[in-house]
Amino acid sequence: MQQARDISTGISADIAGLIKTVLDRRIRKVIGTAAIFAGVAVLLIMVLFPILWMVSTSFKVEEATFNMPPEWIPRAPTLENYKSFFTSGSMFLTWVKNSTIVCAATVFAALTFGSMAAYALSRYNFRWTGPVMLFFVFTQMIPFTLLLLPEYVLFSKLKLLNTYLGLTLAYTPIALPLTIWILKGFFDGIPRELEEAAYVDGCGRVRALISVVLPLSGPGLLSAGIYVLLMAWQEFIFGLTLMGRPEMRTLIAGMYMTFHADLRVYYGPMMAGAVLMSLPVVIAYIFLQRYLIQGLMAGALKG
Amino acid sequence: MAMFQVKRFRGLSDQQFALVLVMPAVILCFVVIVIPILYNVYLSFTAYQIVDPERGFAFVGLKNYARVLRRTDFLSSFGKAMIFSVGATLLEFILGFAAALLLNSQIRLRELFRGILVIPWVMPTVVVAYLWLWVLNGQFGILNWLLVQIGVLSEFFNWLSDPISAFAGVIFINSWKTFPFHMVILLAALQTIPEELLEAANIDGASAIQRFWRITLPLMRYVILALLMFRFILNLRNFDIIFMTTEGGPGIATLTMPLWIYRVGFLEWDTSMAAAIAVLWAIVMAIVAGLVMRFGRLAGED
Repeated sequence: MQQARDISTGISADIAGLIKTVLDRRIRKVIGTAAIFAGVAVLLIMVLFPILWMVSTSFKVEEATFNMPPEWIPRAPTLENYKSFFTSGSMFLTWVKNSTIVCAATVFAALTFGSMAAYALSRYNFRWTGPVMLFFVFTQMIPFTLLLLPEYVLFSKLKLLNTYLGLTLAYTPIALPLTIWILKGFFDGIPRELEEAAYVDGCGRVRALISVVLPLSGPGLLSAGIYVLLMAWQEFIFGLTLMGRPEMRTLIAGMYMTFHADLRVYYGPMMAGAVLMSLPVVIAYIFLQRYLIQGLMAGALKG
Repeated sequence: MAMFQVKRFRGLSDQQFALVLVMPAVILCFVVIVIPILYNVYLSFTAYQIVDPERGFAFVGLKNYARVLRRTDFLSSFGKAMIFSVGATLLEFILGFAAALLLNSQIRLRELFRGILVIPWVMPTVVVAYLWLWVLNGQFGILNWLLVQIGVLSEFFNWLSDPISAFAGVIFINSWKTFPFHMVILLAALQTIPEELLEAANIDGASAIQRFWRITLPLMRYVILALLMFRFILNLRNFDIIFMTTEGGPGIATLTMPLWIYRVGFLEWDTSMAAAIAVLWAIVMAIVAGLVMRFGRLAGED
């Protein structure tokens, strides 16, 4: 009898313990998930709040930007702040054109020279691979302010100040190392047999690169391309220094000069400008997100 | 490749062909980066002033360097660059790692959250700067209003006009923009950790914190080390964020070395002295980069 009761209490204790662990685990899991969501929420607020505040301010009339308590959503939304960039007195569209030209040229140059170099480094048992890679890493570590002055002096001697060619020349080498890094990773992943088959068919080395390898490296070119685009679009200090003439400024440098120190009280137009400057890259990012993140990881994890 | 009879492009060997492919990129980097650096070294030994070309390129020996070392700004902006870089690298790493760990769990809408969190990183620097100038504004800033509402502050505070909070401010603004870079890379690294390993530890009764310290962290130490080294060196040369928010001020509170070079070269228009500072800074950077890499290699070995 006593024994039976012992067994039964033992069993019930076991069951109770089991229920407790299961519950425990479930509670812990719930708490864990809640903590994760709370953490994610904090980060999302940290990122989104200032961005949404910028967008909200950009649609406000001037007096409304100074209202306390703040108008979270503009009570009388206006497009005035945006309109000011498209009136005849504004150089906004000229700057957009300048930036577009320089960005396109930089992306083209970086991808062309970058894919050539990356292909050589990936495929041929090139004697100078080590030193060449080291050279590119070295160029990445140079502080840009160090280049600014001598480049300004040199470019002024070569009559390259205020030219698209000049700024493209300044941007391309900044973008090249990473382009080569990303593309080399992609080329490494393309099987050599494909080119060997092409050689058997009588292709030359140049044709094998152009008609066999390049068509297969679309994603790699996109990854590297969006990288170069982001860098060139937002680059500031070379644009400011090498393009001194107002009508030759890049969008970023032009907008910076527009809202130079004294004028930093007109927050409505400033935020509208900020929205306009972000739009192209944010849209590009939304569509090419996958390639951007792939490129980032390809560049990083191999290093 | 030698097994095949490859058509020779203008009779070049493979080595020569590879050289032809690499040369344009190397030449471009050489012309636009190496030559200006050498030219900069040359300028630093002359009396050249861009606003006064009459003075020409008279050789003055080490005079410019002596002038640099006499300025107290040299040590102060060197120290500030170091503190900025250490602070910014740590803050962006902590934020990025936290985000990566959170997003590595099996939660819904993970891809969407990751997509949103990367946005600051693609936004142009000038936009990030303006955004925070507005949020931190001393008179009408939303942050001030919120902090007063919840009782943290009793009155509005001009964040970027106080030396210490301005310094903390530029570090934070910088990290707000760059933490997604850490997040993406650490997330990728986290996903390479074998699931079974963590599962086994879980069954053996290891808590989440233990699993993190004993399994996750050791397995990721190479990626973390490489990331920290890379970012530390890049943050040392950071210019844009500080220039666009505080311009090195108030006074010289956020005047790091890159900012000082700019100030001397393009605001004081002292070309040859700016060149000398740049040379000294490049030497310091090379030494620091070398030390950081050596330290990284040592730490990576054990």
